Amino acid sequence: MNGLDWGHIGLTALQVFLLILVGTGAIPVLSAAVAFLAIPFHSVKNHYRRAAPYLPRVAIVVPAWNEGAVIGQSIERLMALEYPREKLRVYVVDDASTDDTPDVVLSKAALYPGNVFHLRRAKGGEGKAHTLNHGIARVLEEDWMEALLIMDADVIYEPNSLRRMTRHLADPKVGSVSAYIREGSLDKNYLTRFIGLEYILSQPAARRAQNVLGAQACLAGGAQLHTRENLMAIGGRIDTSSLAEDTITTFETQLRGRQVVFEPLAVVLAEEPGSVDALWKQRLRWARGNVTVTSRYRKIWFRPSRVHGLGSFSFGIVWFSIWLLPVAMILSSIGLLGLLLMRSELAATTFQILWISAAATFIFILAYGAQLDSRLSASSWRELLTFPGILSMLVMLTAFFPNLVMVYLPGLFGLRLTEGGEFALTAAIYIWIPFSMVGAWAARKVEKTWAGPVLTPVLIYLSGYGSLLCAITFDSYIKEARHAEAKWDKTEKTGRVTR
Amino acid sequence: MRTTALHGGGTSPARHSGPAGVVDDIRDPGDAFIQAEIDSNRRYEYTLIPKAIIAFAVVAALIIVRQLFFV
Repeated sequence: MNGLDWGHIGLTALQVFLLILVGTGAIPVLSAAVAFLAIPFHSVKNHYRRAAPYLPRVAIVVPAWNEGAVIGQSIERLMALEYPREKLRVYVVDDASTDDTPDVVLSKAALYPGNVFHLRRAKGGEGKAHTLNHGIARVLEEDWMEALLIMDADVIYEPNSLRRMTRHLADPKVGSVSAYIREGSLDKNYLTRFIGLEYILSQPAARRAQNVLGAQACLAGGAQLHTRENLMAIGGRIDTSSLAEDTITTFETQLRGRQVVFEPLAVVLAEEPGSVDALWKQRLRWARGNVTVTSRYRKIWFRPSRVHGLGSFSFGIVWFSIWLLPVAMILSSIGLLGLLLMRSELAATTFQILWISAAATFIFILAYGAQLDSRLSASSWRELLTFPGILSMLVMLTAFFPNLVMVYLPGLFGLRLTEGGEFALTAAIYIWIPFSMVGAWAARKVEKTWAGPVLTPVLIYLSGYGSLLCAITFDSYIKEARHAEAKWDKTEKTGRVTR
Repeated sequence: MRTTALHGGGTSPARHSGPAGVVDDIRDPGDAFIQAEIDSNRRYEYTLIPKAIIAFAVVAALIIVRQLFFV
């Protein structure tokens, strides 16, 4: 009709559509590349030039529910800080604990009169934000406090860490300072080593980049230092309406024109979950909190402002790339598979462009991140080499060195792929990434069975730690869609932290 | 009073780039010490540049291997 080949036009349109789907996979890759390329600029664009000697009176609020195993050591470490003792007050807010938390805290209060205080809530279990607010309200009754440190009961502050944080508050434009939460379990297992690496990439790496880009996504819950002025400006209390109180505090600080600084050389050791199930619960809470944040601040995204950096294009891309990474993975694989089924030559080309970019970015990120905390990286070398997952690394290898996987490896066993076999293997490679989330989900399912101690680590090493985090994010989509109850789920701590 | 020496170097970020020197009371080391620590930490951030170059070199090596042997 009219000389137009509608079949050809339709196929071309379908190809373009599939290419767009493949292209969604490039967004998180580009976002990560931009973020990590910003890190070297922290050498010249950092806050040290405006930092100055400053030791304000610091009130430390510690929420504690059944923390008897860890709270005593945490208080001792706080009392050992390289900071004037007369300028430190520790308020432990006991959230109606049923263990020996009150006894431990009261004994420390007797040992350090005027420095350690025990506050008890009659009714507990409402969540960390409520517990914190109980302590903050008590602190604000007096004028003594000049800065407020919010921390977790189980974390251990390196002796110089608080001094390294307060120096940034000498700049009146700064509202809050955060530190590097470093995985510090004594008896590390494969999962805590993965978490340790993740924390290197997300803190001394990514948060340095956020310092450069001018907006911080989140103050660490275990180490956030606020000026009194900032605390009053955000309402004198912590938001209790969501599971993302740390992120909301961070956003509210910056929306009022105050700077949030990440201090990479102030180190706080924390005990992180040693099982996939505990990690899943913790991260699901964080992921669902991020849904709330994304929705609550919908009017700031991609709207640059003179007051804050949260509306910048770069920050928006970083935020949504992490939040929507599972969607990008699925859409990209659908696009590649569609092109393959159409027998389009574009399938192999786009696969190579996408995955060579992803592999190069990933290698750069890991090689750079490993140097930012070389001691922890060295002790986690197995997890460093397998961070993307062994099978995902094979996908990267296929893109980087196509003949290696399709020709040389089968050749080692005297095999040669048939046309059908090559098609099936290619299809499997294209769709592996979303399926890696299934592998991570299965790791959690088998964890408590008799095979769990062996099978769960194997599945995580094969599927990848990143895929585990993506699977949790995907679970948060499902929970939100079902309007599942969002409840505070405390991560169990046993006092495994060491220096 | 406690006498403590802080040294630069080490491999953990907490121990990185502290100023070398001795203070009488580490709880209140004085403005000069804290300012020296700030300056030392600021200089330490310049090591981010060679670290980035090393990471680039790793990626470049892989691309060279690909171009030489697998294209």
